Amino acid sequence: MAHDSANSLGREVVHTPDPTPPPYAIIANFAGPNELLHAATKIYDAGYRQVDSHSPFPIHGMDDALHEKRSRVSYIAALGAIGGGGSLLLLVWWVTTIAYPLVISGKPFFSYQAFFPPIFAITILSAAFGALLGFMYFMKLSFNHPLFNSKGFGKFSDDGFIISIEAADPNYNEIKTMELLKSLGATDIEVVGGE
Amino acid sequence: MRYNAETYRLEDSAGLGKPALIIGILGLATSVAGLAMHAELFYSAYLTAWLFWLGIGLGGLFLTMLHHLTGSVWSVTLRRITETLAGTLPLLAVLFIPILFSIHHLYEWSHPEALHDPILMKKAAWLNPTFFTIRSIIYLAIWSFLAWRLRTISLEQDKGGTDEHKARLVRVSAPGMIIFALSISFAAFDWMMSLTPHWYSTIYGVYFGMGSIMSMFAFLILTVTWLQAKGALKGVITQEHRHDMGKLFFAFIILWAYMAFSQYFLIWYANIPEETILYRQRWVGSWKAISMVIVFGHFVLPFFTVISRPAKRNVKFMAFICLWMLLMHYVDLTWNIGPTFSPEGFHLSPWHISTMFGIGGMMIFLFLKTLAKHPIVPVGDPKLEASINTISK
Repeated sequence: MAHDSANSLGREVVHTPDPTPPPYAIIANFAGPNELLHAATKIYDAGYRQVDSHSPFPIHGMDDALHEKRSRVSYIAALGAIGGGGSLLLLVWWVTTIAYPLVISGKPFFSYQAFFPPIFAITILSAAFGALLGFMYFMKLSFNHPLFNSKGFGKFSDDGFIISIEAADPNYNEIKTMELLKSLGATDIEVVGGE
Repeated sequence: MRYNAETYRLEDSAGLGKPALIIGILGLATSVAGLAMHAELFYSAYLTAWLFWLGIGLGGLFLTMLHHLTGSVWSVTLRRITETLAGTLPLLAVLFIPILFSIHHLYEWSHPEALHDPILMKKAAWLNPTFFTIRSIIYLAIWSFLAWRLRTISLEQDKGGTDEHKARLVRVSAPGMIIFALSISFAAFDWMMSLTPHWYSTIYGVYFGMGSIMSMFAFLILTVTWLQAKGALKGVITQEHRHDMGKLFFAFIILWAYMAFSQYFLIWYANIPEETILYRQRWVGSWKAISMVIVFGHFVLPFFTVISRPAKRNVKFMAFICLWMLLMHYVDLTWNIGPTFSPEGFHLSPWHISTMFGIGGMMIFLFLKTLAKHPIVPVGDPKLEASINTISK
């Protein structure tokens, strides 16, 4: 980012304000999920790697088309499940045998069977929380993502099937990338500025 | 095995058909000897084996109807196999005949002493040989009819599928599913639960049903693995389909455990002698060890091994765990049926093995024979191509 830089002497470099911010990405809209999947495959084959797809619903096969690595969310969910269910089991054991031992209908103090339903439910709940929090962490959720600078981008949550190619991609070339997108049948091609 | 990839037809049964028939005939013939030697033990083994194979046929009927009702795409390529599994139900109905002759050996409520038992006297209107026979015939007739109807329409569709075929299949499946759910529940009450006629559990039918559908998935995965090892269905049933089958297989392992625990939990909590007797009988001798084998082998082991995605996509591992779960389903049925006949502990008799091979051999023979008669995927289904290209997530 140009205005963050300082010269070697440590003095502030004086900038004239950029009239146009540097490009962050090119986005383009496609007609439907199949067209988007096709385009994603072609764009990946053309050598682009900083590519992402944005659609109103998950599209089967998109992860493979973009060669996404398998998500690690499931491990966080498993940790949540073991942690949540395990700690409730521990709590039940502590309450019924140490803190407040009571004889209930002649059964042993630690009658874990009685608590299986809540342990099961908490296991599911904490697995779900683990999945949600893990997902939020890995997706790098941010509310001022540069893509939101574009007006057209909001369509991804309605009827837009949008692909974005970031300027950080080594193959990025505004004219060539736009041509590729055009040849794939994209509409509403737009350069989104950073910041 | 010769397989024609153009027409999706098996041209022979890969040398498994004839051995299956021979094993079936030998098994049933050996079983006749058992009948002469120890009728009671023989009949309990026969009932267990028959219910085991029946469950696989019923599971096939269930998945076929579920497929039509949900209009799912991924399972189109598997539909002919499940239809064919359901198509063995008429054979299993015929193999039920020996049980009709064994009512007095198997069921306490048919004994003359039952007339003086205060509880069984009240149940006599339902539990008597005549009505039992009538009900059994009704269940088997319903299942055979549904299986035949679905298969007939599906084969008509092969000659050129229209929406009309699809609509007719749905029209059979919708009432069929309701009737199926009720009849499988009542059938489990009659054939299994009434072995201990004083005891009752309303979830028992669902428990049997879930175990059966689970074992059908195990059988289905093994069938697909075998067909593919022989070179059939390459590229038609893909890793995605195997993953989806694995997921449903896993789901029904959990559903079975859910039903088993629900039944145990309420009985354990209430602690009423008339209800706890079932578990009391299964907590003596070797039955106690078998109870623990079921808890760990039927649920804990498959739960922790099948849960991961790579496991469901691993052909060899799935083949192993499917065989294991079929064994576990048999152990579960034995655990339910056996203690009535050998209360002190489980005795493995030759009849356990001969009946399993006898009924299973016949069933697999018929299954392969009918499978080879027609294309092994529903070629007329408009969704076939979409199904072949399905992706599982």
